[in-house]
Amino acid sequence: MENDKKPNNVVDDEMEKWDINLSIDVGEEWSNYRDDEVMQQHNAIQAVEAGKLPYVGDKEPLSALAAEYQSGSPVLLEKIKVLGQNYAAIRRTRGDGNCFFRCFMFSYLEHIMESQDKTEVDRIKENVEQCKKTLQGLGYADFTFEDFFTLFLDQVNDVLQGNETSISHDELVSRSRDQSVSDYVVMFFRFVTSGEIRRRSEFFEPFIMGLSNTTVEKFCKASVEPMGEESDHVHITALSDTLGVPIRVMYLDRSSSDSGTVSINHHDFIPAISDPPVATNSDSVSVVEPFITLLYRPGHYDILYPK
Amino acid sequence: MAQAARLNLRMQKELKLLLADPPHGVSLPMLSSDLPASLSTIHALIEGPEGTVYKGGVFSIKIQIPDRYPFQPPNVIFSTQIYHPNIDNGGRICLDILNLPPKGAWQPSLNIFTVLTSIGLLLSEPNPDDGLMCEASKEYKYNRQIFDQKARAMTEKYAKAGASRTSTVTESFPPNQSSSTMEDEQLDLTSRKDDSEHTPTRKKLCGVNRKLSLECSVPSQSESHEKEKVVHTSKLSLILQMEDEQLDLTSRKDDSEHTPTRKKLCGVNRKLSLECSVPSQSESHEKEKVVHTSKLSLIHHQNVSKASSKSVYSESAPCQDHDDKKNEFQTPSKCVDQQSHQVHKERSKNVSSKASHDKLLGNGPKLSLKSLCSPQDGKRDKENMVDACKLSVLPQVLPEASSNLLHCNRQQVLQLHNEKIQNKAINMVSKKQCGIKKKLSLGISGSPKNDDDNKENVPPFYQLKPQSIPVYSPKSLPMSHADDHNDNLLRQNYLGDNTKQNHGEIETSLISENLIVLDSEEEMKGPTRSRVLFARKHLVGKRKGKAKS
Repeated sequence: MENDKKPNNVVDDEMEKWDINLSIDVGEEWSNYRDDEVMQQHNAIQAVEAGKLPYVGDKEPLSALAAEYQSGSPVLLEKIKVLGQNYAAIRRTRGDGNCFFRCFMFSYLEHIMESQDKTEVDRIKENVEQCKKTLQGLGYADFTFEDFFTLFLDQVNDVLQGNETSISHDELVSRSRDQSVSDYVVMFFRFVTSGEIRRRSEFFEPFIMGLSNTTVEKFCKASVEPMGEESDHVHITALSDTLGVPIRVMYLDRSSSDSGTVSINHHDFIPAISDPPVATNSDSVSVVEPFITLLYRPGHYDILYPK
Repeated sequence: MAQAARLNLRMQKELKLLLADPPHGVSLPMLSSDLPASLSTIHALIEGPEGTVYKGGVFSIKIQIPDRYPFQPPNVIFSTQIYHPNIDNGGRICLDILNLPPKGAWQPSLNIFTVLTSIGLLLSEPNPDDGLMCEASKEYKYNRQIFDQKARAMTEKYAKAGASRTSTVTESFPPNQSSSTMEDEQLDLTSRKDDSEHTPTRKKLCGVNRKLSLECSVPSQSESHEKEKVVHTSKLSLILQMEDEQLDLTSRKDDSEHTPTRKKLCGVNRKLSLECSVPSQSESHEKEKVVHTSKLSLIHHQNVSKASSKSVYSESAPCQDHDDKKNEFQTPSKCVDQQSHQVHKERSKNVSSKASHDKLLGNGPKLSLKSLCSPQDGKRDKENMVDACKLSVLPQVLPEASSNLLHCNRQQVLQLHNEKIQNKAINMVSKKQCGIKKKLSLGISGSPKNDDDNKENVPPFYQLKPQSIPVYSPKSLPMSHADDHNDNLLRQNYLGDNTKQNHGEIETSLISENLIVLDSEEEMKGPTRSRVLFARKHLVGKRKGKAKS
């Protein structure tokens, strides 16, 4: 039965080839997914995330944060303890890449609501108007951004009490969790951030080059304007500058100082007043105490409440 | 709700501006009268840009606005058939800004205006490196002339003024081709539902069927349109259509393991349609045109008719055939090197099948081969045309034959004790077969060097008719066990025929340089394939050497 054996050998060889073929195809499988399938997957992931945490969570005591690291790094626990000296509570946001903007939105509106600071509202409206002009100057069609602008200004007006449309704190929370509001406001921030970066492209270019080795234009298109793109120093600086709102970011990471004492790094983003309406001296700028404080853990921002 | 209202407001603003100042070459006929009640679907007409193959065409585009626009990109689809590397048969467009990140580049700051502008740009400058249509992409990159012809033909057919049927996707297939389309769809369905083990074999059949039905639809067209040119174009587009469908299916639905076979099939089809498109280009060579087409269909018919005629032979000597098959697998086992495997295999197959041919057959294939060469002196274009028509009338019988094939095939697959192995073997075989076919068609395309010869080459195909049809009908398979072996035999025959033709091709030394060019083009398809190609090249080289000596 020699005849039978020989074909088998060949078949084995062919099987090997076939296997190779298979493995190649399996490797290519991902590229075979169509765009809408990728999007579906993406949506599914987002839906799962949404089940875990709303866009903006509830206010929690800082101990809740410590509980998260109970079995983790002692450095972090130490740092949280230090953090507890100045900060009382944390409000988490969903980690969907828009967390910084959602933090900023809620924090800012909450601040306005609590302080009822009309001068601040007037000031920011002026800045928003300026942003609009910037975008128009950059060639954006009005209708592409004006809805977002309108919606943000609506929210600012609504948190000021005494109007027909005034809202309660609960309503603010629920609006922040409502996609149709939250996303629009996030998009508003993205527009103004992008506009600011482009307007001052000479200033931002070196940072952007160092960050992603792309041009300012590409960076805005790829990392600022699309929803879900995470924010970095560049974004925060631009947003803080363009709206004139100082932001403090506390960095909770595992870095430790040489002296052995545990301290928390923080950075204040103080708006650089490039074209001040009123002449201000440097003192008044440095005096500015940010009313927005965010907690940064690598890859994510949450809102911190000072004592 | 608030969001819906907001969206509606935005759309009103956006559309107002869009109507006032539409992008270059774009018009919005549905909107121009009044703002419609529903703003979620927009119809736009986009002109083929000047200086492109789409010039003169007007393409209908359907834009669907999702609820979450502008956070989600609009869903844009071409309602008009278009031959474009980045636009598929269903009109779907491969454009980065039409998809969300991470894969796409949509951003909420974009809008319909920018989308339409981008699509206009895409028409001017296709992006073959990110092709949705792999054939069109390849042609665009490596065979621009062919691409241009096809694209122009499609534009002419579907996007020119008066082509009212192109307004919707469903109507974009000419109605009188619907029957053949249906048939294909059915076949697709069956092949999709099949177990993976069955599929490789059946796919090949599918391919055959496709070709057949393809031919089928032509006569019905030629009835309504007297002018042969119309027949040509329709035929051409039909082929493209088929090809596209195949491609589509390959990329979407197929399990990864089936893809190689399929690709090969596409390759074959492509080569065929390629032949088709060549003639339709030059109006001055009308004669050539007819000749080409008829030859094309001849290839299909010969494959089947010869197979059938050989099944007569196989009844008388089934064992012989089995031995042949074994030989096929035995011979190469001695070789260690994979590449030489291929060469040897092909060679041994040629030898074995040729041997059987010479011994017992000779009638069918030789006849058709002869007919291919038999001169028809003094015949004019018109007569050639008639021949072509006859040609295309003939295959109406063939679907039946192919269904028979299909049936046998299934049985055979079930019958085999080791299905997988068999399929693999078959797969390999069919690969080779395709390769041979490719050569075949190329060889023929290279052959008509002067017009006189062309005319003479037109085959009196009806001569084959009485032979092929009766032999092939199920009734004429008298032996009960024939069914079991039938497919084996048919396959073998099929193969044999091809190789036979191949021999004929060598004899007339028609191997053209085209072959090498095309091969190198396709080497990118993957390691296994390129190995085969390499082997094939080897072979060609050797044959060439022989021919020279």
